[in-house]
Amino acid sequence: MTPLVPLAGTAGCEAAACVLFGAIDLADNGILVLDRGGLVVCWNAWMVRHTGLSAEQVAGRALPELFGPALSARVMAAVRNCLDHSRSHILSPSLNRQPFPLTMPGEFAERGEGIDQSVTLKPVPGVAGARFCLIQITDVSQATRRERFLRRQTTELSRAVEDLQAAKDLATRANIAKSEFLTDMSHELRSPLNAIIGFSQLLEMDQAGPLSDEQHEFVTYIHKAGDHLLKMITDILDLSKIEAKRLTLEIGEIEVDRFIHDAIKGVGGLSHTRGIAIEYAAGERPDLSIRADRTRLAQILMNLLANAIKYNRANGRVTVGVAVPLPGWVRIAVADTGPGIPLERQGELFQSFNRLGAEFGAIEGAGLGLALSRKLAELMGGAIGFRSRPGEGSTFWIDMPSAASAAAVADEPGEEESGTALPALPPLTLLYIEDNPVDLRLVEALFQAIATVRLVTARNGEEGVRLAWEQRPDIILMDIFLPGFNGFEVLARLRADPQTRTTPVVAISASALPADVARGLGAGFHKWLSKPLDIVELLTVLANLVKNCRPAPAPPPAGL
Amino acid sequence: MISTLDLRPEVRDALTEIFNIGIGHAAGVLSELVNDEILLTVPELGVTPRADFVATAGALWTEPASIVRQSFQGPFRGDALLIFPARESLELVRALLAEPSPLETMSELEREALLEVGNIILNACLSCIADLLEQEITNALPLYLESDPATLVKALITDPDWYVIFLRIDFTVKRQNMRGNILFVLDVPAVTAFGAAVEKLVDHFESGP
Repeated sequence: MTPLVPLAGTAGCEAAACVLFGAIDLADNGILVLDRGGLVVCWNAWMVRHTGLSAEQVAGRALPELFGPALSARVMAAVRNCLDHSRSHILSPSLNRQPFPLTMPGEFAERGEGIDQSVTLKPVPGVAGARFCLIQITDVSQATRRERFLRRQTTELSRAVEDLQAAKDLATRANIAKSEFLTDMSHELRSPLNAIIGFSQLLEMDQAGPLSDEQHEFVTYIHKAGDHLLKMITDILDLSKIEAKRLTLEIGEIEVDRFIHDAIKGVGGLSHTRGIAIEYAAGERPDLSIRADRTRLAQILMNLLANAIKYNRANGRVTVGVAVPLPGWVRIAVADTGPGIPLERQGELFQSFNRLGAEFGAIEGAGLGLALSRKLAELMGGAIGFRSRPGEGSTFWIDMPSAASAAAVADEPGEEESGTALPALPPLTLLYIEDNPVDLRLVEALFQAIATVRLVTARNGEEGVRLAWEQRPDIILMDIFLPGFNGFEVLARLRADPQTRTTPVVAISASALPADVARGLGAGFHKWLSKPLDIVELLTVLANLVKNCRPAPAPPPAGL
Repeated sequence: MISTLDLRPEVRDALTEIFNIGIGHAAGVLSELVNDEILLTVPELGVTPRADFVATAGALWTEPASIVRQSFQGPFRGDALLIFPARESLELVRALLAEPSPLETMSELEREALLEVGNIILNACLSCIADLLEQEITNALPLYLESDPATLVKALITDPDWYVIFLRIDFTVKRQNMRGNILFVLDVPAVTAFGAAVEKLVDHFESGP
């Protein structure tokens, strides 16, 4: 061994050796020394604790003798290399987990897991050519346990991430399937609604002979329920389109004053029925205009107005106001005099299908309006907010970015003729191509009562084209999904023939998807009406087509 | 004192063979340890003066490396270095371990395993040199470093008369091939003894069997 230097406070080498051995005993590692022959000459207290063998028991004995076959062969190979060739060695815990059979003190060897070790062997020259092998053993059980735990956690975590990804993919696919299903359903539901709404409109107009007051009332219920169902279908479809990110917007400038004025007119019927007055100082801010999609913004405002009317008190009041809450923004606010929303339920307000206490009441709705409105407003870069105090009423508002310049607002031309009075039609021949017998019957019933209109009908595209050439109708109405030639093919044939090239053709389809409408108008249909048919709209379209496309020489005869 | 070691091809081949025998022994120990076949070969060897080596070292390693360093002493002083590109050392240790870690960086225990692998390989090579020089060389415990090898070598060799023995080693484990380097940095007495040993080899060739 290295000659010991006398230490301060000790008397010579012997005392110094005592201090050193004391230090070796104190170490929190196993330390043992083998002589040139591989026999134990030093064995510290840690080794005693972890082997149960005292220094006296091990002195002068070789390691295989002490540990038997439980001692790793690699330890002995390293010991020999150290003593014979002066090589230092390291035995790492991952490659040799437990080179020495050691246990924690107090643990039964057969029960204990043993100690994971990191072992180093170092040759130490002695005097007169002697050589020793110094072995140090470090307990790394904690580190290996920690690493095993970490490995398990990481593996589980990455498996969980994979599972989540799979679940997300599944949900995405399911959501797309749901959207497609809703789109299909909306189309399928529109067809029967065409019969319900169409015929109830005819009955309301007394087209099939006068009804009793009670019959009239019942028919009105059927009509309203049909309208309500249609609105819900449209809302559900809109929501699913927003979720599937398939809703396209046409952002343009909108003159606020006129826009509000039109929206109020749109809910005029409802406010009249409910006896709610709508107050709006029209023309107050003629200078303000905003950027939004006109149709979608109208949808939001009409929804807020309808809510304000429906959730109002008897003889209540709705006040519409315009303000500039921040530079660059315009706020349209709708205040009611209703009961207000309880504080604890205000958080649920914008959730789909949430009707806040109206679930079992007389107020109709599916609870989609506000959820849809918020999503639409956000899509257009705006926001919806509200303030409500129970007993005092609620105020809802839309904030939209203002348009750069209020001037030069090219407002859409007014929706031509509109109103509740049925427009009069000059004498004309109509061809209606439709395979659905109920839809056909509806239009036949409508024009039975209009003496000026001669209606010719065809059940398929081929017959339609033939009749168009034979009868020379003034206007052609046409379904799109026809047996044989579809609506687009029929249109192409009509356009290819000089006799029918300029005849206005109106599509009447159960599809109301903007893409279909755009495709139809692009193909050359003059108008695209969606089922369920609004009879007033149909008559208005016909009247406008007659006026615009064929300068009517004859004075309009008496209408209906 | 030799100033250059312009090795004749047959001497270079003989030296390479000597190291291949030693490193083959290390491969046997490793194979037993991981219970899988491990192949180690030395396909290339060179002996270069310090100045020449330092001048070319920069181009030799372009990325950080995992290094196992073992200093040795006895009649000679010097350093033995096993160098693997950091990425390859991670692949190597993961190929060797039964339970490789899923983490992106080397864990503490994996580092220690790499240290043991380096220790086995470097010990085998040191024994070759010791046998060649017919001297006993005592080595210190291995140390693990992550560093730029060129900078490390420059810092280790300050004496212009020192030499570098440069070995390329190919490592094959579980059908994966990895490539590393071993460097022996030798002090003046070691180089002198090495030169004498090489001359003996030359004599052996010239006298012929």
